Amino acid sequence: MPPEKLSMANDTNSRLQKFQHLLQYFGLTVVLIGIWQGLYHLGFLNPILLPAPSQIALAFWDLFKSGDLMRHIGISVLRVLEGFGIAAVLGLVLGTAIGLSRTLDRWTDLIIQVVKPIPPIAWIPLAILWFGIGEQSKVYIIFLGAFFPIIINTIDGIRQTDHKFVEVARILAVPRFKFVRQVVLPGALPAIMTGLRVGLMVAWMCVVAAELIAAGSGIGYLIMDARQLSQSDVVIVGMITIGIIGKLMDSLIKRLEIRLIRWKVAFSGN
Amino acid sequence: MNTVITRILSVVLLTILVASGAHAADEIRFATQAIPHYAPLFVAKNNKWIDEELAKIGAKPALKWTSFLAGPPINESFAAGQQDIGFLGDTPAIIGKSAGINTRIIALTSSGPKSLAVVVPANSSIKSPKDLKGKKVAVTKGSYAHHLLVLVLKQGGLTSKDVEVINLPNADIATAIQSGNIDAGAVWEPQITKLEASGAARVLADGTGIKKGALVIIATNEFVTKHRDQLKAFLKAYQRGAEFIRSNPKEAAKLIEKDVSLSADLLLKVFKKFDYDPAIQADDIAELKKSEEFMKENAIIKSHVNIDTFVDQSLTREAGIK
Repeated sequence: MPPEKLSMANDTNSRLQKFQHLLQYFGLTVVLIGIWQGLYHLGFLNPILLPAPSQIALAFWDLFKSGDLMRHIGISVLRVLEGFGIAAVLGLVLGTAIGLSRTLDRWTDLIIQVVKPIPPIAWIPLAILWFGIGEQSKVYIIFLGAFFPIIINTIDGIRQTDHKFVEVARILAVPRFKFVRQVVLPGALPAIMTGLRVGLMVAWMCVVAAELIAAGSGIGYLIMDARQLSQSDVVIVGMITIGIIGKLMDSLIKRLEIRLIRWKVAFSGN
Repeated sequence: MNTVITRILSVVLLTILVASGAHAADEIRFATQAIPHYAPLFVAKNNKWIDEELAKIGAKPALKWTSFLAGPPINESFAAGQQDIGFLGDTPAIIGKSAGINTRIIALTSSGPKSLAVVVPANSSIKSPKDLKGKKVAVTKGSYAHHLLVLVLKQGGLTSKDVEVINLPNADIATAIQSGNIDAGAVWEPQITKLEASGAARVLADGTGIKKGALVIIATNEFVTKHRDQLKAFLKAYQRGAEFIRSNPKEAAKLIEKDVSLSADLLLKVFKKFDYDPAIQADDIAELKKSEEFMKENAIIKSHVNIDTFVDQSLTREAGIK
């Protein structure tokens, strides 16, 4: 086969492949939505129990047009960033300290292990008593969700520092601070990034729990409010919005992760 | 492999069947709230009058009782096909109907303009509805107290956009008032009496002159079609309960203390706030229409509810209740 024809055939092949992949990526979702809408038109669905995709799309459009949806998203994202921010700072600082000091680890291990499994929702009664029903109690719940993945992964990351490096540093009498800053922390970075990523996800998932506390705005509030008014379509709009925003947040932090630890891939490559 | 798939499929099928909330023959499922608004129900239940009236027509269904904290959760349960007869405020009843729940109003449980109110902490500087501007006000969204709140705000020339509305369950509003976390709350009995008795709050405005505070008994259309006679027997028992409260309030209060978690002496005071007559009068229908309009205007319901077809007076009439 002449080279030009070969490359053209390859182009068509790869374009076909890309199309196939696109089909596979979206195909299942489209088919399911189609079946769902069909069931509704055939009268098999009770709209309170499961509204039709068309109703949900309409509810989504109404909320978007009135600006309410963006407002709620903005408020929830702000709360999540606040809670996550505090959790990141505390988690990184405490995690590093505990990771570097065996003694501190022994002091704190029990408390951390016992408090860690308590789900943020269980904290709501105390949160209300301590912080009232304003923003602080909501941010506190979100903070709790994000804190433990961050601190645990930070500790692990630091512990993972290769023994060989520790030996070499001791032999070369590297000052502790330099050692931590230039060997331990960079080595722990992948684990720390994982912790931050998981922490952000959990923080976002806690938004609904946090906004159970007498909220007047936010995506979680939107869902609870719609529930009181038997508006299942708005409930589903809220759920889908949470999913999409969560996915966007995750993609953003994944990009950050790749950038920050690019050096590691390059280094191992050599 | 085939047997595994068959087993999984049959479990799934079974779950779907069970979850579809099919109505078993010979049982009546009641959705109630533990509040003094439904006192005749608890009187009739404790005196076994419901069973008596049913026995008179030769029926012996099992009576299943579930207690809820407010109207909206009752709507959820009806939507899931789990209840036959429900007791809730006019507002959540209309919301449920608008959302597509297949029910109708068969009677009133009670009405009482003083049974719901906007309360403020005892030492609050708020003296009239217009002072609520910019304040934190808590209410159970979708309840009949929500309607009252909007009406009270209207009296002060305000709308819900002029205050910070916080959604809380009835009992939590009382706690929030006591702890000073909110500036005002729209609540219903027994919270009003409890707050006043403890000196924690006073009434800013109640339903007098603006909302009759009617609560309703709803039944699924399916139940009305299949068990009309059982419904009428139940309504007769409810009527007996109402009459007993009128003629022997002290005994009635003692009898149902635990059902409404209010001590007998406080309950006696609360009784005075209610008219327990289950018959639906013309002005009740007018009130319901006003509530429906309010909800449609404020986008609380998305589609209109035809009150004339939603309310069914035939059952009370046939049961001899006027």
